[in-house]
Amino acid sequence: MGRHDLVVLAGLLALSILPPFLTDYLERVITSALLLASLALAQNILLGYTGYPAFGSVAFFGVGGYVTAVLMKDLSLPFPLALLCGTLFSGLLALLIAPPVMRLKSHYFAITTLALQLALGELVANLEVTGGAQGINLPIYRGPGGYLIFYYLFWTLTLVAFLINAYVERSTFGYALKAIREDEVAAETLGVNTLLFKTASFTLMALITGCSGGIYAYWITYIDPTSMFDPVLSVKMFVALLMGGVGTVGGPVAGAFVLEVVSETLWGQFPRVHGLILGLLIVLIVLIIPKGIWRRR
Amino acid sequence: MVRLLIALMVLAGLSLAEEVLRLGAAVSFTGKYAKEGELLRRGYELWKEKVNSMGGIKVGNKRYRVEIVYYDDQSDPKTTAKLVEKLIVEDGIKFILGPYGSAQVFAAAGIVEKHGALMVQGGGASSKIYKQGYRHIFGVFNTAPDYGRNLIDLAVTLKPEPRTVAIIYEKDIFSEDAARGALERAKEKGLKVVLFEGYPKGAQDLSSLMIKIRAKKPDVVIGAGHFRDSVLVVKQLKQFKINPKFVGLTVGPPVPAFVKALGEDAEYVFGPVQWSKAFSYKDPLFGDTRGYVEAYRKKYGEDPEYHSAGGTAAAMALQIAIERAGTLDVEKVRQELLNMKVETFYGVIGFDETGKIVTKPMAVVQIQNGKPVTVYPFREAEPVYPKPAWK
Repeated sequence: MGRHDLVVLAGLLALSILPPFLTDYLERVITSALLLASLALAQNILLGYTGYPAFGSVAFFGVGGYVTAVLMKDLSLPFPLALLCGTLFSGLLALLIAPPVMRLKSHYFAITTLALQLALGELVANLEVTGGAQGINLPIYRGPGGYLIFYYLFWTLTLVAFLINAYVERSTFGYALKAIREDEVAAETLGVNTLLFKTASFTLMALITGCSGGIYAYWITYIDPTSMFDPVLSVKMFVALLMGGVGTVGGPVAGAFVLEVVSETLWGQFPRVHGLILGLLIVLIVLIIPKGIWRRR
Repeated sequence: MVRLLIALMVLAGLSLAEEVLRLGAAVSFTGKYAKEGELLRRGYELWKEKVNSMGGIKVGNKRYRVEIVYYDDQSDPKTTAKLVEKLIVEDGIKFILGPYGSAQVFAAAGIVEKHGALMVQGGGASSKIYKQGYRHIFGVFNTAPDYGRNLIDLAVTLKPEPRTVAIIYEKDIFSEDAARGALERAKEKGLKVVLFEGYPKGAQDLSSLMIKIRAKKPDVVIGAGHFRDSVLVVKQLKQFKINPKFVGLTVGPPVPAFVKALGEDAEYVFGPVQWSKAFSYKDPLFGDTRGYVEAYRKKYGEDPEYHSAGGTAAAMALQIAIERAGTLDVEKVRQELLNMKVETFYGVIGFDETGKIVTKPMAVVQIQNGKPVTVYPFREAEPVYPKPAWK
């Protein structure tokens, strides 16, 4: 971990003692930023270190969210258990589809994951158990801690995802991924079992993304196919990642917070043209600092 | 000159001293519901201008000028939740006007409940909104069962009276709810239900159902499904030469694409809509429905349709409840909403204990000469019945 990343880690740790000083609204803004950060960190393992852009990684967000919701609703499982199942199911699904999907390269891979996201969205919209297009309601959480619990859940997830990224940055596992990113054929020649490592990377991404979706479902209390498999969420995640710096440990977190804070300030001030301003900002950032706030060294 | 300036400043000061009641709304200005969100906002704005031109909302002995704080939820429920929380916590607003879309309404409802604020919404028609035990959410859209009920209500007023009815529905929650509404009402009205059967979602062919319908020769056929099913039902009724006196479809007929898809075969099909400008009710603000339509036309240069009308009606229900309560206390205003039964341009507004509107009919339109015209409960044109045989 570089000095920059330590700053981000310190910032993350500081967030854990912040809530007493926050209004409910600010708490929610930071929770949203943490959600985005967890997604960006998950994608970073795949895109940043392995070099595979999963445009449709939000598919696992939807799967995690739906499995959690269905288990809570139909089997009355307690939330922690349902969340665990949702997370594991996302990982399992990724593990199963990784071998064929991970043989595709660059944009073919990106489009395939996007297709997966849209197909799963359609599937969920047409299944009985998922409530079809009508979606699923979850009870409002009224237990101890109130909505602060979601703040800490997303915080924990982000911290874990951050540590995984830090591990990937420095470990043999990470070197293998980076070797794949730089030159897959070369990596293979050097004896890296590329499919195995790619599958592991893809599954890790899915586990974190799925867990994020599960927490989201209970937090927002109502999920439907359009909001759980939303392409706009993929876009936001990619913007956060690119802004922060692909392939750095701290970048995705920084990017997510900057994006969230900027867009939050903007839409309060300019309810109609905030999209335009945000778009311009993104263009400027990409032009001026194409490698993101946290440059990859 | 200086005196004049001072006088002006004093005047400005006085008008600023006027009390302001702020309401909040997170609606979609961008994203996939941008159009509906804009229509909803127009409904709110028209109401606001009218109320302010009449001196504002009267609460006890005070008059409050209305201001609405808008945020853009980007058609994203997560954002809706965040913004509604912002409205309540940061802006200190207790009364929320609803967003557009069922997912958005659900997201907002959770937050409104959590903070004990109050929301009246004209943006979500899912009946599930009212099955969550929410206490502070009220809605002015009819829910799914009403789509079926109002078709039957119309059918039984026609002469010669229909005796038998066949109801077919797509197996999803909304359509099944609508079909059950029709079933229940048909039984109440003494119609004989000769067929009540569902078909799987996304069915491409309804031949087996059509054969059953043909054998029963019902006077009325009700189809509850989505747009594509509605088109399919009409096509296959024709193909199987089934000629009921009345064909009613829960979704499709009011949409221009329905006539486009079916051409001449769309003629004389009935379908329900939430609201129609052909309604004729008295209204405390606009005089009557026509007054509302004219005010809308004057401000926006086009006729209002149900999204805007729902917005105005939601805001108006809140206003009436606040004025009757004579206080800005949420619980008392809620009680007045529960007690309410008031005639407005939108229909009679009254809610059951779950917050769902129960006193207002839906309008039913019939396709005549390629256009949907309202035939129930107010007649823009006479309904054509019995329906002539397919050409």
